Amino acid sequence: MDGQAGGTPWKLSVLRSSSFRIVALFAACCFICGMTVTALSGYRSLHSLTRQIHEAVANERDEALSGVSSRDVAHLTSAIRSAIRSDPTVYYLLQDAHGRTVAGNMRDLPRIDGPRHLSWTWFPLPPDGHPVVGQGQVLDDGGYFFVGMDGASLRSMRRDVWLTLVWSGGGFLLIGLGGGFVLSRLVLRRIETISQTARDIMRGDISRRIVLNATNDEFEHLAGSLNAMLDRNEAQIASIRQVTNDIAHDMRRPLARLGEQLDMAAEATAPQDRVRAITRSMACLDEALEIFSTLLKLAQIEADDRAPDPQRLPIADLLASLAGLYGPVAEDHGQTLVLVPPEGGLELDGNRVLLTQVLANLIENAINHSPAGTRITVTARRAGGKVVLAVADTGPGIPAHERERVFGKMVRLDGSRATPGTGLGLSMVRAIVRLHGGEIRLLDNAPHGLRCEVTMPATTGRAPEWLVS
Amino acid sequence: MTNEWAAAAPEILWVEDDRQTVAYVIGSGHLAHIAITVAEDGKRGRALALAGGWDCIILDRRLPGGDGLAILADLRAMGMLVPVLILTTMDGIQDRVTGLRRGADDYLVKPFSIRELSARLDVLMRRLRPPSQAMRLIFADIEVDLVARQAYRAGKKLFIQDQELKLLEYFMRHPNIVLSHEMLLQAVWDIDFPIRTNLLESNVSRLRDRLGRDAPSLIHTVRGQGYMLRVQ
Repeated sequence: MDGQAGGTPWKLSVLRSSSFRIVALFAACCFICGMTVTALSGYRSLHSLTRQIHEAVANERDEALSGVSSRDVAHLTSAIRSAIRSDPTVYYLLQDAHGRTVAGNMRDLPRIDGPRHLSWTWFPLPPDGHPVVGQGQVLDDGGYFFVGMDGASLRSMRRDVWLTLVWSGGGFLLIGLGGGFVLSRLVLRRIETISQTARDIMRGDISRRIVLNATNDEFEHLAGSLNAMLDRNEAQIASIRQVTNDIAHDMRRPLARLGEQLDMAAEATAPQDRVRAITRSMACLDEALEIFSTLLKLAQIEADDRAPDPQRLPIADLLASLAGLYGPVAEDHGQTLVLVPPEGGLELDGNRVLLTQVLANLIENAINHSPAGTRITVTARRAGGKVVLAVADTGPGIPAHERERVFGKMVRLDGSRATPGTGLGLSMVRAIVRLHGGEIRLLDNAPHGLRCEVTMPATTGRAPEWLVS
Repeated sequence: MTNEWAAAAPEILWVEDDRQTVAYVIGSGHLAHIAITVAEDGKRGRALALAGGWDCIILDRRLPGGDGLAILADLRAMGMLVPVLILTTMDGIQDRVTGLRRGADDYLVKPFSIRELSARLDVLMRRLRPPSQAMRLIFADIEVDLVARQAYRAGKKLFIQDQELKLLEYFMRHPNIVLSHEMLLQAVWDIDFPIRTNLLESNVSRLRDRLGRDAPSLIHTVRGQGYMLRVQ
């Protein structure tokens, strides 16, 4: 997790993550919207309550003034005094033109016309701390008249509005930040898993894969794609590694023998010994070059996913030309090569040279590893959606437990050391067959002998587009 | 580097950047009957090749200044039919097919033996002389009817099978030239994979039988090199 190659340059942090930023931005929007709505509705409630109180005050004032003929201090005094007696919860004040209190249940006020809010300090009793909402009016004779009512409800409502604003603001912030944090943690944990896997792979553990949780979400989708890519890469790396190992390992034998032969040539005193040693070294060199080239081709075939230069091949022609070629060879070995021509027009899609190589190799194996008198039969038949090509012999066969092993590279069974070959033939055969989407099996050829069965996908009715060239 | 020999010596252009290979081939003396001009890079090689007048051109594929196949493509685009042999280290599964399909007449993979190269050049330069569109081939008392797919010796129809006839036809097209094993396998049967049996020997011996055991032999074994069709 430091700056070295293979580590990330920084640790993934929740606050820096884009999911956190997105959620925080979202929370901020919610916060602003929520606060605006709350503030507006609070303002509206306050406003209507204020209006109600003012209306009530206006009513009281109108009531007090209603029975009075003239609006001056002298006429109002008795009316106010009786009003105070009848309803002590309403506050009244009547002052003469000099500011002296004539009647009322509160202290004298500065003469201000219109609606006003007063704190509780203007009232002698009771000291309940309640504000008063009221209305003042300058009278015709220069006196001043004030009517007020308890404004505690207004004050508590204002306090409620502020509390709501503060609490909902806090709530929005908490939910936004907390939600963002939790969501980012979840996302980051998933990303960190992927990232950790990538780093493990870079450190050499190429078989590591991102663990899937079967949640089928977008991360799973991404992880699935990445895993598929990793599988493909691993297969190719493995193939390259395999070739490198094969070459390093398998070239050693012929090169060592070449060294020995050259050594002998250098030491030889008799000219014919020297010539023989040089001839043998050239054979060793040829073998080394052949192994080298075969391994490279093998790697190429194993890495490909489709046969190069494919054609539609009539199997009868393929078998006939092979039988024509190898008939004389088998005869020279005292063996019989029998070709059973397939029924109907069986065809194969594939590379002609590569498929010829497969059959040639199987026939040569049968010829080389069987004694005189052996009968080698080449057949082709259709089995369901498959074409089965078989090369069967009545030779010694291969013990069942060795049959898988012979496909390995450079594997030569003990009994066959004397026959020529690099041990790559069957590896090549299997690689070619697999390249064509087929499979090869080695079976018993009752009562004795070996039967190599190559199962290939049968051609479909029409030639695929890539075949038409 | 131009080796001036007899005026009739065939002229070959060899585009090859590996001086050691060139020195080895020319030094061996096997190609002494041929005048070889060597171009060491793709650019000069291309200019010389397009100048024309060659009996055969040998092209390497990995050259400084381009792929030999590009030169080949230019030659063929200009309608020049000079025989071209690709001589290269590239022997992937498709390389030979690609080379031949792009218009090469032969494809030889390095490392190669000088005899093999010499034999292939002989075949390539001979190819121009008799028209390959012939309906029948005649050599000594053998006659091959390419249309009816029949062979006759001294007027008598031979009982011959398809693969044997293909082999005979190739010999008849290239008489008096040593044909290497590799060449015969590739040219006649398209086999460019390793063979573990004496496939060629068996088939040649069978062909000799078909041509008549008692009649004078025409297909001769050249020890360590291959086979040759010639009259004694």
